[in-house]
Amino acid sequence: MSGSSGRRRGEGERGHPAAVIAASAQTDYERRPEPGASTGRLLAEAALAAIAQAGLEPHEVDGLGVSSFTLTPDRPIDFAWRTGLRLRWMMEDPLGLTVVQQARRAIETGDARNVVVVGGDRMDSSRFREMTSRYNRTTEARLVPIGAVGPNAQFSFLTAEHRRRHGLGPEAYGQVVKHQRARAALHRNGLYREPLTLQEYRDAPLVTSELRLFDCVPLVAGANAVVLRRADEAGDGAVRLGGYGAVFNHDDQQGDGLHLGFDRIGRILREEHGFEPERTDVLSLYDDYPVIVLQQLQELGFLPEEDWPRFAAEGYRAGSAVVNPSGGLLCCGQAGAGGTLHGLVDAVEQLQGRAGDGQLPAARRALVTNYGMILYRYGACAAALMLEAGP
Amino acid sequence: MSGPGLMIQRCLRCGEHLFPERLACSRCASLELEPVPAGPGTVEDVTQILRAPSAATEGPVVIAVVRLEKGPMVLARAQAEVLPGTGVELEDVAGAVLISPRSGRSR
Repeated sequence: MSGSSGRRRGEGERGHPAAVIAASAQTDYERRPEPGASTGRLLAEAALAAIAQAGLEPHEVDGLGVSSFTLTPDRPIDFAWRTGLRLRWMMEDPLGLTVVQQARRAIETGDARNVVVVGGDRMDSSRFREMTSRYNRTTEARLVPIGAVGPNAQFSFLTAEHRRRHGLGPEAYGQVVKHQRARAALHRNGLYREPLTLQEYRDAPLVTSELRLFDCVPLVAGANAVVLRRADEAGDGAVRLGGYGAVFNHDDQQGDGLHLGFDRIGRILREEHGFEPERTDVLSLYDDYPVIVLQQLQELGFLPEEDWPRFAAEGYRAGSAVVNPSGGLLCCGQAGAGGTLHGLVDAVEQLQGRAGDGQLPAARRALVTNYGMILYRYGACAAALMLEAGP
Repeated sequence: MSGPGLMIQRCLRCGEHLFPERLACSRCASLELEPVPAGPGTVEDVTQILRAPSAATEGPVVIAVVRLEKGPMVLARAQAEVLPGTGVELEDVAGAVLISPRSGRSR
């Protein structure tokens, strides 16, 4: 997947060595965190575990990226000091993949050498309510007053629109959850581990007139981290970074919300970075709701329109790729902004052969996505990153 | 309950209508935006939040997507049953966009 860039493998854009992902770590996900557990503590645990996994000492880390909603009032510099990191590069954004891409650029331009990117939150229902009520000014001013707190209302509309457009029944969305349940049974942080039948999915309590309980991610406390290094220093087991694409506010919130922007990203990845859906082994698709998984499969070229009926009846196929091998956010839980690094850690573990019981044979190529940041009616950020196992 | 009519923004330079409130016109980037009445709209879809994450909210909350004749799409709370295709007026009660009970004529 070195694509058409013409660069030599292992070389970055300006002659500096390419950046790679050397290691990853994930804390335990806790549904009911201890009162003493803090977001900072979870982030420190994940960051230091990933640094150790990379074979580095904390004093060798000179870059820090952070994705978190609840680290406040601390900022990355406070976290760095309290964790003992001395840095020359730092940034934060709620979308973990965009932070990883910037960390990669920092290494490839020589601004940093060893960067840890960490994301997580000590999320529980009261913090979630607080966070989603103050998500942005528009939410405070126009969504909280009408009782639309949290994203369920918006995704209820999106799911209904998607269902009508493709003539689907609830089982199409249930297939996503059923598949991820089976995967979560093999993952150490699998929260919903019991096999799920479509009947059980349909019979689950309604959260909105359109969404059932298992369409919504459980909230957990936890954190994820990866360490990026120079390819020439990271060793053979490191995961190579391929093409990256992103769109932000691509339609001014004037569309139907079901055009996520991944068609545009997919085109960039195919045309400029040699992305081939049929040669992808791991698809870590951001899965805050099943409808978003299905829409990504379609926009990225994994699920042609004519396959919808077969899909709904027979279940999950995405070519040769396995979608969300850990069980994803839907079955492991979402640790706030740390959820944007869950799929990345999932893919890195697979490509490094560290996925334990859930290890896929011959996992070589992965695509990881992020989606979200609801402005008013739907999400406004989409990003995707290609990965390939080391030699 | 009947409150004042919802106001939206209109760009003084190009006439674009905007909602929710923006900092600049998304079409021509002008900072000069004036408040104007939202005017009538049509319900495009309705959804019910049955298990609201806020304990302050009692019972099902019915949210409608309303397309204003002036263009913007608005999320509004319905106080009575309302069906897609219904023509509605919107009011603003302390920030809450509500479908006016005066609404209801079919289009």
